[in-house]
Amino acid sequence: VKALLAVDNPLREGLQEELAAEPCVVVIFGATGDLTHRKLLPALYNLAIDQFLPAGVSVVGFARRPKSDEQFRQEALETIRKFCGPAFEPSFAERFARGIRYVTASFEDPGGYDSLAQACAQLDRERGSRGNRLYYLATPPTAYTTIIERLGIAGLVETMGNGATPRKARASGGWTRIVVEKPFGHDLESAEGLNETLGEVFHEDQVYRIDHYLGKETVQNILAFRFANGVFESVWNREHIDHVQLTVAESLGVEGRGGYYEESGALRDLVANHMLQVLSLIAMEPPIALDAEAVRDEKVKVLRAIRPLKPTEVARRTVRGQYGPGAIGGEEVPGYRQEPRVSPESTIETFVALKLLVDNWRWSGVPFYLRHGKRLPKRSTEIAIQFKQVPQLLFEQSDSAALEPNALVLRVQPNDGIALRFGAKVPGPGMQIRSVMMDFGFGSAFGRVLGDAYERLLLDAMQGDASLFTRRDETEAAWRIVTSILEGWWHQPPPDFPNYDAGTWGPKAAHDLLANDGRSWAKL
Amino acid sequence: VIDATQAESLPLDARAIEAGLGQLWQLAADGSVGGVVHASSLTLLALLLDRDLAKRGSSVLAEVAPAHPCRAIVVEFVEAEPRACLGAFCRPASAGRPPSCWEEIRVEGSPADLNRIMSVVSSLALPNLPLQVWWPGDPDVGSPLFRRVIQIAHRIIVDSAQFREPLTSLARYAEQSEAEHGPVGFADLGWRRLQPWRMLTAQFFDTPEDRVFLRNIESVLVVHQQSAEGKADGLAAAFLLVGWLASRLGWTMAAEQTRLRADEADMTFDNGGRAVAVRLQTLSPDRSAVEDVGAGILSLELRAHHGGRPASYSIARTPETATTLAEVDGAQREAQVHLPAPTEADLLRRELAGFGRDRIYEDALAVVRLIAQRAERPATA
Repeated sequence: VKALLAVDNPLREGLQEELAAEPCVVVIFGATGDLTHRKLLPALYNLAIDQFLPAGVSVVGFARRPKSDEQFRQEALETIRKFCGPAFEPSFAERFARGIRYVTASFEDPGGYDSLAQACAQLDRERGSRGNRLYYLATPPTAYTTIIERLGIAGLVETMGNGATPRKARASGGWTRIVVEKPFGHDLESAEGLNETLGEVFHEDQVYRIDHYLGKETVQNILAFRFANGVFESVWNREHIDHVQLTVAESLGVEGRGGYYEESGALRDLVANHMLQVLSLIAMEPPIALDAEAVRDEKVKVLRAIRPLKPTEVARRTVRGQYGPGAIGGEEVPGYRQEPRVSPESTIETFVALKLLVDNWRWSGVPFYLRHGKRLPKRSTEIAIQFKQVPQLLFEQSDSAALEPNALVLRVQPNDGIALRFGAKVPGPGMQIRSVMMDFGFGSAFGRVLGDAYERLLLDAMQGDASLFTRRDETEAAWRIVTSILEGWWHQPPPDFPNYDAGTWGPKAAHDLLANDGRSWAKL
Repeated sequence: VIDATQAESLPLDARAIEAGLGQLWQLAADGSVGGVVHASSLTLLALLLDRDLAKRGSSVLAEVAPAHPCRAIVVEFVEAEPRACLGAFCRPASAGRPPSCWEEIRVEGSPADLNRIMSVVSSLALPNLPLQVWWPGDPDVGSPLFRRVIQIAHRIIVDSAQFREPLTSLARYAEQSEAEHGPVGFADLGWRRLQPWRMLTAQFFDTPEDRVFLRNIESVLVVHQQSAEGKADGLAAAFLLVGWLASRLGWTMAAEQTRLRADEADMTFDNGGRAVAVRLQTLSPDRSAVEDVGAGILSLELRAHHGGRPASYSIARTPETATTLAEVDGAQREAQVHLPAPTEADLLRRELAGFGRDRIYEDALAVVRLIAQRAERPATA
């Protein structure tokens, strides 16, 4: 889309990087929720003040809580003031808020969609948004199907099944896109069902399944690191890499989301989307171009190459855990079963460790270990590429453990950066070798604040760039893997939960998962 | 926070300076818990060649350096024996910004010591990292110092808004960039200042309905303002804006000469056989209708005809905003956007994030050079 605009409009040449979105109406379903206030409204405001949005971008909130336009506008201003910090500028915020409207309706109410159509049409006339619509589902997933179907019935999406080019199909000449928040279903069957529903109303290239991890600079940097640096790609394979570790450690518990977590658990909440997305970026083949389809074609091949686990393999290659009471950072914290809205007999996992195998030419025999848990000792997300040991150790070590194989660590958070572990001679007589880290930090190198992932992703959706969004076949391929694990667990006896203390690195079985292979988790 | 400066200045000796910096960082590390880790992403050579520039430039650098951890080498010309003063600085994380450290080598000497000074600068440039040169004021483009700088720089950054003779200096800058066949980038804070104007202008023509008028522009009017001190300021921006439009839209200079008067410049371009009349109008501060807008471009207006239908597109600046107005067949679309005037530090901070050559800028510069060649200057009294 960016390239096409540059070709069509010669004045765009050289401005692609700072390409602004076209005027449009952003319709947020679930406008009174946490996501809208913490992330979406601040992100839209920041994009606007940074001149990425033209003045004709408007926001319509849609929710069942009764409110006037003015009330919602004032709430939005308060939210922006709270979450945008120094970027808040009263006079600009006031102008930004002029484009904000609110529709009070339940998601089932057909009349609400008529009101929405009227509000959008009026904004088209007043603010020149030309019929362009970005629908954002910031609601509980249970509401998705209703909203999608109602949008279709109300004629607010005029494209499907008729072969029309989706972005151009509306009578007004505008485009329609829909952003869907994770989770995209809770197993393979429900994911396919949601995709079917979406497919009946929207064309696939109108659907933007958002996984905010992909909007993080450091996750995008995986692509840059791999494909802009010749030196690493040549060793990025089974010949040189022993195994890969992906860790998403959270020190927080479920933070009042016990009700949601009871339905989801660690595997569905994080592994099914964020972690498998990151894994696919690490393992993918070079795409033929950096466009949405080429990148996603390669990512989905990785997911397809991960064989779903048989029930017997689930027992050997997965570990689940649930935290009990413990202490983090010197503070006593309750166990998961003592959290609000959590069953005292809950068997939901708050920790998961997996060993996955990518059965393709590049990765055959290289295990990918994934670990995610809540109430672990610290918050840390990183990818560790562990290289093979040198074939012959020339140096006699007094401490044999001191000479570790090379490792490349991509830190996503905190302290986003890249580190390379290598052996260096300890100064002094003799030839003692010790592992040292060569460390690159985004902050210290570029000295700039990394933009919020939602800003990047909202802008991409408005510009029609789906590269950082998940395609239908990707979500289904991911659920195929995750569902095989869920089914394996279903056939196992009930887990002996809680099996790790809050503030520790998970159950002993997680340690054993790697120890049985002669490996160990990176110490974070 | 670390603000370590060496009490005594050093003789102009690269090895002594490196050693002095090492001592400063060691001193800083000794006084802090956990030591100090500093990384650099570039060498920034700031040529602040007179006292006024040095004073202003130092405060700009203090704002820019935390965003670009670097070795800053500041060269000042003073009538004194060449010497160097050293500093090491760190700022803690704040408002989501990561912690940052940088070091500064302030080199003073007379213009007669140019060779010595530049030899030390060459030695002190960090290896394997880009060397960006910031040269505010009115650099003597093509001078021996300029040529010396080109040899070691990966990129040179001037500010055309500070040129005393914008058309002449821009034309010479264009000559240098055209003569440079290597990777040295020529950048300009004046061009960076134009970016929102380019963006807003481009946005008019994103829709096919408006794009037909883009190929049929008949006239361009750029109104710019002098600063209160009577300096040219907005004139360089006006020339660059016209250069950008002409280069992107494939206009060539018509046979007519460019007429330069005190408060107006008129030129004609050929757009595939159709004439495009361009006027640059200078307002002195007392004639400006808008208060506190400051120097620079005040408004841009493009007029076009297609198939008998008239269209006009205009952008007008107010202190904090810009109003865009598109009028096609009598129907108006008006919008206001946030457009605060960036500070010199803002511009430099953004410019330092760039690398390499900017072909769009160089194309615009090339047109400005052609305008200069066709210029019929007013007779001097």
